[in-house]
Amino acid sequence: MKRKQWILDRFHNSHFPLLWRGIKGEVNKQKANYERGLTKWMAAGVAVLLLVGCEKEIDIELKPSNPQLIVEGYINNLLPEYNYVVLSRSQDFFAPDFQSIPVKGAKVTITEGELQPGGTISWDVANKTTMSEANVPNVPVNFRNGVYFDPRLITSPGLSLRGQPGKYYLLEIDAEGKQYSAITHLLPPIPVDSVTSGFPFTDEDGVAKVRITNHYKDPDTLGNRQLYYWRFRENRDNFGWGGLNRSRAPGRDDLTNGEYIRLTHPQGFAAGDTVNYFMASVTVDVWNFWDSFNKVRDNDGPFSTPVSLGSTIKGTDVLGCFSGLSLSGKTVVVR
Amino acid sequence: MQHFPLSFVFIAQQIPMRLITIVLVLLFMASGSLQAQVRVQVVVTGPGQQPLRQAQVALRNMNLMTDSLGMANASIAPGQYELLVTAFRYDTLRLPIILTNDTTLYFTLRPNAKLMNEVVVRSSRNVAENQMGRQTISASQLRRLPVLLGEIDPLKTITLLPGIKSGGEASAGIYVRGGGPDQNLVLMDGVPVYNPNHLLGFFSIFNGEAIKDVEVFKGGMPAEYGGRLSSVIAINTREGDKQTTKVSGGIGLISSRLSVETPIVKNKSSFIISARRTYIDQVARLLAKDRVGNNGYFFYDVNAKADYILNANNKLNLVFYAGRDNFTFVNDDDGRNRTFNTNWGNTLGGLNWQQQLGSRLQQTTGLVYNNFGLDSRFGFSTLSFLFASGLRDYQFKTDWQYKSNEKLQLRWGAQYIWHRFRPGAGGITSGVQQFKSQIKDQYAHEAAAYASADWKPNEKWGITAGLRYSYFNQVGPTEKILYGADGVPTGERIVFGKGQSIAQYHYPEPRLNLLYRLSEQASLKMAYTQTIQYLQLATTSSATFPSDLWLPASELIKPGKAQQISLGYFKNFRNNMYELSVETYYKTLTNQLEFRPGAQLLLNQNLEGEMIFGSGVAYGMELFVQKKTGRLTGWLGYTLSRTERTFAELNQGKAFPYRYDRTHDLSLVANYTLSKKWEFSGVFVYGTGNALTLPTGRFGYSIGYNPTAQQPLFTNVNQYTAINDYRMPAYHRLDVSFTYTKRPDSKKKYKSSWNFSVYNLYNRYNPFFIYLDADTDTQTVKGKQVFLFPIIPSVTWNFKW
Repeated sequence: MKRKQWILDRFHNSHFPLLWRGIKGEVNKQKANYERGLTKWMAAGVAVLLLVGCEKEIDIELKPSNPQLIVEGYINNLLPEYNYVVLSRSQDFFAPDFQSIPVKGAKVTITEGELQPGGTISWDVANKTTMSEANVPNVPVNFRNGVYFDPRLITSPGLSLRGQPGKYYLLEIDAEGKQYSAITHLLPPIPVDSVTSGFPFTDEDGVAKVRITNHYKDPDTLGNRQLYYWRFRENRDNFGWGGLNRSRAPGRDDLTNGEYIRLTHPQGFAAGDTVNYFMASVTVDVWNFWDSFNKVRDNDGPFSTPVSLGSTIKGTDVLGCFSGLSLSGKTVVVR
Repeated sequence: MQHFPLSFVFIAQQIPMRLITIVLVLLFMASGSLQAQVRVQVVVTGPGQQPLRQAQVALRNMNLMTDSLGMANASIAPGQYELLVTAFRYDTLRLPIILTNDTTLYFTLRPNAKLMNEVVVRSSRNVAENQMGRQTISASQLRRLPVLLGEIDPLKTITLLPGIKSGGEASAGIYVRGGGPDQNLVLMDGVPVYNPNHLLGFFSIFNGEAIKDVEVFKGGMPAEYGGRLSSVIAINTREGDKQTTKVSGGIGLISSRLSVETPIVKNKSSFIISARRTYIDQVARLLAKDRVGNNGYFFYDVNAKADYILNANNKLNLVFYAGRDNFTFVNDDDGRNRTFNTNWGNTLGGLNWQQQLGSRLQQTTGLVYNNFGLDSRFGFSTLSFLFASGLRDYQFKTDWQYKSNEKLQLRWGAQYIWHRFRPGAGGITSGVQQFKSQIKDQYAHEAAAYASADWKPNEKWGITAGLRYSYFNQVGPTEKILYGADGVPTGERIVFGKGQSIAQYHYPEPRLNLLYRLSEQASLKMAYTQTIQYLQLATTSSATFPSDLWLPASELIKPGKAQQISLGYFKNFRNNMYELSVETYYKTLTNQLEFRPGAQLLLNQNLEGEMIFGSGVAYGMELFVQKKTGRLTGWLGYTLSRTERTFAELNQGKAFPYRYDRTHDLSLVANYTLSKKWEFSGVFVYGTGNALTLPTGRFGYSIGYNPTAQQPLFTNVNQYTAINDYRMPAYHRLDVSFTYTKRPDSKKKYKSSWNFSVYNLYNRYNPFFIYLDADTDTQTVKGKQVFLFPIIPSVTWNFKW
């Protein structure tokens, strides 16, 4: 099911990789349903050739990789338990392990700062939070290794780390003897005017579904981009940003700057479902990172060029992003 | 205008001795006073009065070649000669002649009924001509070679020549001596073609029925050609028969073609129209009805050519091509309303005037129109997507040739092109929300002038020196949005008025060819060229797609530049039955354009912000041996080469192999005449696998947790270290075909033949591409190879009357 939320992202790229997906769907019966349609037309176009085309497993010898520290950090203004930093390590492609490899015992801090006239940021040392692999309530035990939270979430939840729109945040990591850092900025949140339901359809299981539309006014500042997240029946109990469904606008900010936006997501919702909808305003570097993330995920096939994940983290042999998400939200019951 | 006092007409199939005697007597009688030199003009045509280009005319030691008017001129001392006219696939004509006065001789050659003495690739000029890196393949040769699904494709066939490579299975690109797929000047009767492919590269736009021959320059480009860095691929189409109406065609598995030619004014003008349409969708529907449904793909193309001989010295021709690909997909069976429609195509037109001014001077002036357009619309769930892009050219060109004497020949000319680019207008609608991108059209002037001298100071040496000077100016009206380094618009824009220069470039493009005859049967050649390319193809992928954009040189995009030096040894054996050539080359490429990995191409108003610029180098050795006569003809081509690219932003700035770097590339082509009725052809190709970037590591990202399944949620992300440091398995394949002509000796007008071919005879699973699959569900990591074409037989029926 998780695949469906990616549909919107796919449209953001050239549609020709999609055509490729079609061919691949033809040879790979495992492919998800939404590809089935494209497969069909590809069958029409290339069927004679592809009726016989096939896929086989081969042995590939790869050169060893250079292990990287993978950083996934978030700071937001609404959900304190969703302000966390995940540290993990990359592994050889053919490594048998399919779990993320946590990097434990690192020193992780987040410091708040303010932009000074002249463009420098002054860091408020008094406002420095030391994050730890704490036994935070609501956070599953299996999720704690290599995941760094503000320990005040246990002791004094009211005082725990919370992002302030307009402020800057400095992430500093000292892991296995090496130092890394990243800065992110929380933009002013953009209010969600309303989330409405509409565009009914019947899904492949014959269930009546509707889609939701987010209504908001895009601010008249360039370089302000949005990411959208939602919690609904299918992911209700999940924890973490990776446990939510999400989408992005199919066009860049400069195509719709300052306009009133009515964005419909392709995701289907059953009537009566309660949706917690979040819109995150992000800076261009954060948006670009998630853009590269979506491209990395979609990238295979004969016509693709390999895309590496972007990074906003400073240091050597490190990848990842410190995402400042300036959230606004709405909870609606789908009708 | 110079008029020749005498002219004679010879028809090859009926020159009885009596006539020759009469001619000789006439020649004597016409000789009023003996001159020091007489001028001879020879005009060679086929039976339908079509001029025969590159027919060889030998007058004692003098070897002449006919031009596109079928004309060859010489100045020679009066006297008795034996004249020999030879042309590919025509009977040779031998005629004693006494020349006393300026004379024009008309020859109509008879097609060669026997195919035994077939010339496979015409480079009998192998040793003698001061030109390297040129090869020609005739239509009849194209027709005999085995091809995928019986579709004759000149662009696929030329990749059997050394130094010219295809991208692999089902790849549209042609890579000449390490150059990119956009670096080939593809000309159809002199009209540039921007997108020479149908169906994502499975087939080219050139209909085998309409083709006369294909000529490729991979080095030593003459000065009249320019605008692309790596090669010239000139496809010449047939002229119609000027005496009788003829129909020919073929019915194949996925397409059929028909060609009709007819005289308009007998012996003066003719018209030919060839059309082709595929029915791959209909065939697919028959084979898998439930899967195909109402979706469809087809392409069609139409070639037409009219020519008119105004008089002995003036000729006009009009060429036209239109082709369109159409793809439709409709599916709403799960309520999601997916629709996809895209169509793209070229429309080309050209008007040429060829004129002979006296016996020495010749000119060709032409007007060219060229349009490529793509329209696509895509509907999916609540999303709809529209995209249109295109390019339009108007071109004027004039080429002059002056033959001072046998030792010196001069050529000069000029061309001018007005370009209009539509880099992509489109929009996405998501529900009611629209995201519209309107990138302003771009305009440019491109012009060039050239002069070239072909000098043969003595029997041993030949020097061809030329200089082309090219100019490019991108002009307004346009409006440019300025973007900061972070890709965010600064809010500023620059407005350019109509005709106002935005970016201007001009470069000299020197060309030099040297020939040294070691002996009658062997020579050494050297060539140096500098080429400039002002239009570059923007593509994110390694294949070429109709959605790829041609972009003009701009302030940021500097014109591409290539320099190539090549050296070669050429030798003929056994009375020219065998030809051998060994060519080595070294080529540098600068201002090469690439997009950042993951670049956003469609609906991006700041396309230039996604580009990176680098350089390339290519070097190699090409061996070509061919057997030209006998029952068995064919060739062996082998290339040993290396091609690299360097970009500061890629591979830590270190040089990396080009994707189509091919260390070894071998092709073996054989034609064997089994009997009068049966002919056999076979093609074997072998090539080092393409270079590929594969991940070396992986990690999980976008982490979450699913408490119900007690499992973390994350997406596997690949980690890459070096670019193109993995090699796909080698590509090799054997294709065979048999052509059966039922009544080869039939005197009837109606003729037909069957072509049976088998593609990939030993069913090699050649990699189309390779990918690594890390499946989190099954917790397995696997390497996978996708291949497209196993053994594929096909049959085509060809007819003509």
